[in-house]
Amino acid sequence: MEAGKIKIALTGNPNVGKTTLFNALTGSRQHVGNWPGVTVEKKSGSVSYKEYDIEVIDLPGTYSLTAYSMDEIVARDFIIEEKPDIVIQVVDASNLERNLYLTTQLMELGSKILIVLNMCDIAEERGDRIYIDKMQELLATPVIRTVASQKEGICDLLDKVIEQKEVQQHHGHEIGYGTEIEDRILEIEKVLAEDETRDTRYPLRWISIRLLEGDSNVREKISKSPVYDRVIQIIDSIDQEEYEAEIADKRYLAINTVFPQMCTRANGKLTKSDMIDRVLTNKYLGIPIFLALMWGAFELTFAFATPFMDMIDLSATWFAEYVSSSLQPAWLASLVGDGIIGGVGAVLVFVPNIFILFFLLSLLEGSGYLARAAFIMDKLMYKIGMHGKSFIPMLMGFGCNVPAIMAARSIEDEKDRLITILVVPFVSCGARLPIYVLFAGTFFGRQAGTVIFGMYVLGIIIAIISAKLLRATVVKGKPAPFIMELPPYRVPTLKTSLIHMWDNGFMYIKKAGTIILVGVVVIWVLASFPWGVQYGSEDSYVGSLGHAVAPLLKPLGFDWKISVALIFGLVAKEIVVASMGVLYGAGESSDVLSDRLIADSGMTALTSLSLMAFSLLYMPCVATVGVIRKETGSWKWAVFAIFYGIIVAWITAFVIYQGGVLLGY
Amino acid sequence: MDISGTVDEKPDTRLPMIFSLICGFLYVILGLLQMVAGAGRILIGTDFVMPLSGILFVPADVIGSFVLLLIGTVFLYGVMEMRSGTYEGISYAYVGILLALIFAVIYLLVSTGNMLEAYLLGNEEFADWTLLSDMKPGIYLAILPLFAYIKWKDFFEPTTEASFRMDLK
Repeated sequence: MEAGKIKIALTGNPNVGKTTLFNALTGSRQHVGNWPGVTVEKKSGSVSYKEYDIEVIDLPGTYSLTAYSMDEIVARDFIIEEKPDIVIQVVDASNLERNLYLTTQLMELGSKILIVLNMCDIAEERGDRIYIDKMQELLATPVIRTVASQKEGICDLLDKVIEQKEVQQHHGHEIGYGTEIEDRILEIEKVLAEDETRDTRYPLRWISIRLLEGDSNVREKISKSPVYDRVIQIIDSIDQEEYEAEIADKRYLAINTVFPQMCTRANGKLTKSDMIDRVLTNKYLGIPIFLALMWGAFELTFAFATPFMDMIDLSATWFAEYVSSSLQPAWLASLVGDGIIGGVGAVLVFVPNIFILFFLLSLLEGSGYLARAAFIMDKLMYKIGMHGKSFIPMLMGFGCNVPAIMAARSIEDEKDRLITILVVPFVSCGARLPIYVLFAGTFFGRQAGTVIFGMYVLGIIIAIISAKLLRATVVKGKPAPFIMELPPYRVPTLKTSLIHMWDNGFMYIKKAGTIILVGVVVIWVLASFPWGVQYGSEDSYVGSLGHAVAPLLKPLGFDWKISVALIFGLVAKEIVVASMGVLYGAGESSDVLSDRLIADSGMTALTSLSLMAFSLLYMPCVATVGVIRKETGSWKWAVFAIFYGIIVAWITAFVIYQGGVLLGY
Repeated sequence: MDISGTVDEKPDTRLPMIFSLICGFLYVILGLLQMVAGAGRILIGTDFVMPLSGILFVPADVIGSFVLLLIGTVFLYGVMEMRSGTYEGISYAYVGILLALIFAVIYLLVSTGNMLEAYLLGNEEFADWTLLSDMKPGIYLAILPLFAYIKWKDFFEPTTEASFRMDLK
């Protein structure tokens, strides 16, 4: 261990406040949320304290070291293979008994542990009493009390980390599993010890227990050992399920022996969380309440943002007039006015909607309601062949599909995870919002909020139908049982919500200044050449491109201009609106663009509905395709997502448009 | 409606039950009126004017009517539970109040946006806009839940389940 440098790892059950503690320790702004599984990748940060450089690693949450999901394996492998100086187990003080299960496993691993009792405020509010001194004594492990969200106890924790760094010896803990199991452990240990090439980072006793518990990951790790066959012979001779249950029972027996000495629980208290859950998870009222809240969120996203959009519009008008009057020659004025300001401006005007949407999503997430949404949807999800946990990544997809697909790592079953990854792109992300706001605002007036809400619901419905289809065809099987912890409701902090809103909103602004800017310049060039043609006319390159694709999209009610916008929207969905801004020569103003869309005889309310649905469903953006490839480890599924999305979008838009025409709209 | 002081001794659900009953009926009735107004607008056209809609500020908004009906149902569901002796039925009164307040805040924020359009930006579309233009049942019906929330804040604080059951016997 290098003097002055300490590496600590934060581990613990999901949703116990590891990332909140990480942010409090390092001053980072990592995303926190009130549901299990927010962190799926390890994150690192550092803090300098009392002449020490402390590297802090935030690991994904895990209930046990018998890793079942990808994020749990990440956590376990880091602790074992990277050997941090100190493993800090963050423990939810309001759920102490269950959290201690992981403690027993960490102790078996031989790591130097420090326990952080977090969320003490919630436990105390409920009337629980935890005797920290007794807890330290019984576990022979230092225990520090913190309320990470209020930065309480952070200095005490850092002091203890430094103190522990100097401690060379730490108490080794062993849980006795009874004569029969202990004999088997010893037997396996002996055989493993014969392999001199073995990885010495893994304690033999720990590996033996894991093997008896049927840990496939550990089994794979020893698969190249010369003693592998002999070990498997021992394991095959036992009833593994019985052993696994017996080992867990013994651990809980140990916990139940020490628990009453370190904690007294307030008996049977009905908390506000319980009261709210009684209603929000009611089998009849749960789903209608969820839909009503989502409708309210989208109504607000549209209606409250409108004056702020107009303010941006007015500012942009002034800016565009100033730039246009100052620029010469004419082509440069056209590039800046029609191209850059028309395109990028058409996207930037929706910044208020994006900010409001992310703020509201952050409130839903921080309050703990997302976990309930997954819970109330589970029955329906199971019926259609999806895992209840899949609903959380789907809701996360309202913000951005990329982290939503990564959030699927918390799903243990590989097939469930694959289906979730493939259907998340149908969930409407923030990038599609400008398309809805533009067209719903233009063609549906005061009902725009409801139309936008309808698009989000349509995305979820298509995702669910697709899941059913995938489950019945390419990814056959039954979804795994759904077990998820419902976190207590909390009032989300304004700071966290504002940070979440800013981080995501800023990404949107950044995109406008980079990829969308490049996109609109390319469209402007294509709309201006060959030299001498009328800007954006059918004779320009962009016109030719549009006409080449238009026959395929004509049954959906789209003309060549929409076709071009959709082609460029493949890169990023916001470019659909930017392209419309450029092609309709709307300059900087979204009002002008709306007026020109209404004036275009080819654009009707029905066409706009068809276009919104197509934009929602057709091919995921480039970043999403990239993350699908990464998460599935194959191009096959990424290509599948592209073509499947295009087909589904075409069919849906066709049904909407042709159905509307048949009904006389 | 002062029920403070009774919490520790004998939580009495009669008052919350009467309150939930009144709120539930008001929300359901106005929800139905709003639904008729909305459906009439869709089926008959803009000529359709529902009686009382002007006085009660009932907009022709079908989705909004579902929200009112939902809040009303939550209150009435609580009444049924409390009547059957289940103290936890108080949860429905609490959540009903919260939902009523959440949607009232949403409507008020939407109205604030329109006010900015009318008075700050001078948008022509909002030339005739007044404070009453956005008045709707979802806003004025929330006054009663608001008072209840303020008055009964402590009543909804955590209490032991054991004592609930004991009190009912």
